[in-house]
Amino acid sequence: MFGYSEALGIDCCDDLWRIVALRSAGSGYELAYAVAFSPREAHGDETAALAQLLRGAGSARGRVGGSLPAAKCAFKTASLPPGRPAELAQIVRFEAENQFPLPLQDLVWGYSLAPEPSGRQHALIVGTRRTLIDERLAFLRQVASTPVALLPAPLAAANAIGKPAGMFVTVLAGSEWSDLCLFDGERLLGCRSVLAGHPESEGWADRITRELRPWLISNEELHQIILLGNVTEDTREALRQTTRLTVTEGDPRTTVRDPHGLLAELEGSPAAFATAIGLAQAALSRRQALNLLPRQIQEASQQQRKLAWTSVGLFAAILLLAPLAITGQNTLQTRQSELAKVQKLVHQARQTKGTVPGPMMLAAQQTVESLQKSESRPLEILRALSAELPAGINLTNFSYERGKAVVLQGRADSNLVLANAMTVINRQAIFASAILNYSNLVKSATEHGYDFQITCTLPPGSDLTLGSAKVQRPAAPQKGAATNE
Amino acid sequence: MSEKFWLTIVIVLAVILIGLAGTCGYQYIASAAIARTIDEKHDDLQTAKDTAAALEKAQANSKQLAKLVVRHQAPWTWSEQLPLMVTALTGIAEDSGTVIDTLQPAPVVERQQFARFPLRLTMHMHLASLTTFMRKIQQATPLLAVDQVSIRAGKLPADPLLVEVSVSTYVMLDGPQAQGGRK
Repeated sequence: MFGYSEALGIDCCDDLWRIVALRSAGSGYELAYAVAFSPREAHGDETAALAQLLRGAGSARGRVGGSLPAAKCAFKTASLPPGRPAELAQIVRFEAENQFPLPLQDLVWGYSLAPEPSGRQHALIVGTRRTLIDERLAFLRQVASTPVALLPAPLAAANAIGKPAGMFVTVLAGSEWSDLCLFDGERLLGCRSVLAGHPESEGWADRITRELRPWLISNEELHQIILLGNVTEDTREALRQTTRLTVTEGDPRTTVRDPHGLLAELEGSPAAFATAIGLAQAALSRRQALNLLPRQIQEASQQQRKLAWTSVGLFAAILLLAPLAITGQNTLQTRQSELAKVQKLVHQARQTKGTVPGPMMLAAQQTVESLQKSESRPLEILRALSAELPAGINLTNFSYERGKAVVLQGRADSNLVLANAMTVINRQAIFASAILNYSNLVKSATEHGYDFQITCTLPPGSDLTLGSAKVQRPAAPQKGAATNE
Repeated sequence: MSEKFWLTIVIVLAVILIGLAGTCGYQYIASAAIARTIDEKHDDLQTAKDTAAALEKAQANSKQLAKLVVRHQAPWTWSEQLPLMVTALTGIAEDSGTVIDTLQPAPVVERQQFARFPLRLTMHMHLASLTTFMRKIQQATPLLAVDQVSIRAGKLPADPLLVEVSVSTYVMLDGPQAQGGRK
């Protein structure tokens, strides 16, 4: 349905059916399979026999193009004024209604437009009975699959050969009917069928010539005939003699490669396979012009194609998402197991036995910790002061109150010594601050110096029970004494 | 292959795709939610570990603390605490080569069933004895805390120092209500 690079062309309009399989190869096509099938040998069940033949050859897959006998098709022409495609389509429909002898609803019809030198549009309108199309569709579905192209045989055959420049006629010779098509280069100007009998029968060339005469009279530049179908050298020569035109044998190998030499191996001229090859080409290239496949089927085919591509897109999206989903699942499982592990650890940690210390215990602990600090040990304070205080300082009184202050009283030789002592005390980390409360000069016959008092503040401790304790205050300075801080 | 076949394929693939997309979306949301939960649980775990460590430390401290601060069943009064304290202090004073001149209990201070029994001492001693005395008090078990110290020099350089020391012992009072004394 999508991406098929192979197509079947089934030409079943003559006494010998010809089937080819074409495949895309680079920019062109190459012949993959070719067979001539005689329905007479199938003894009345030619459909099943052909289906079996195709399945056996592995060629029942891919696109299918089927042929319609030109004798059962009506070919009409019209010269249309220039116009837009929609307007031309309306005119063509009008012409078809006028020219076809049957109502359009009973027909399946199509048309192609080719520009004329005058600027007008040459329309070729082809139609056939709907019943014939239905029969052919049923046949092809049984044999292979629903076709994507149904073309009149001479048009398919003409598509399979390289068209020369200028005017020429193609003659598709069948066992009973021969189909004539008039071309001007790529433009198809007309088409008709002649009950001329087998090409090897007597008088075939005369009958063909008689049918060609109107075209020869009206087109003086027509000098070439291309023979297709059941042709032989004798046929070609006979037609040349009767028409006095150049008659060549059409060779589909000009448009299709035949790397395996299939056409050369088969009996008869390669031109006999032109119709089948043209059908396969139309199926591969999805050529729309003069394709008499009903519109509904074409639309269904397009719909299937859309659905198929949608499937491809969805599948690609699934392929993209699937690894993500697998990775995501692994990640999810990993995280779930990690979560379970962490939850277990939390549970274990929470189950650790222990006694939460009560307020009393905390108070005791804080008190003990507080007592282990230097500022809670008066002996260490005493030692530090004894070691650091400068000479000339004599302490007479030392008062310590835990968590509050240390008060030093004594006599200094001079204020300079006292200043040094303050510097030393301020450097002690155990004191939060130190203040010189007073320094009084003592003058007497036997004593000389300065009585002083220094208060060193201690950081507050953590002992809850000390809150109500009073700081032991030293004696107040003597009245009228000078105070130095 | 018919249009119906392809339509079926498209529907099946679409359902699978929607399912996969839904699964991916669920996985993304669930993974993000689990990742957040894991982070929260890690925090919980750290908290639980810290708590456990604190509990273990508290247990260890409790044993150590029990040696330093004696537990008694409330009520516990000065009359019960004083003999213990005097015995300890007298021993320390004797070991330091001095004697206690005066001894005066102060009111018990109690906070949250944690009681302090302060005792005021006065002594005459030389600096060496004072150093020994203070050192032994710091090293005493059960705990003896020096609340206040007042050292005054004698009138003459050879005179012993007048030392006033306020020493406290601590007691943890078990029971519903402690009645160790005035607060």
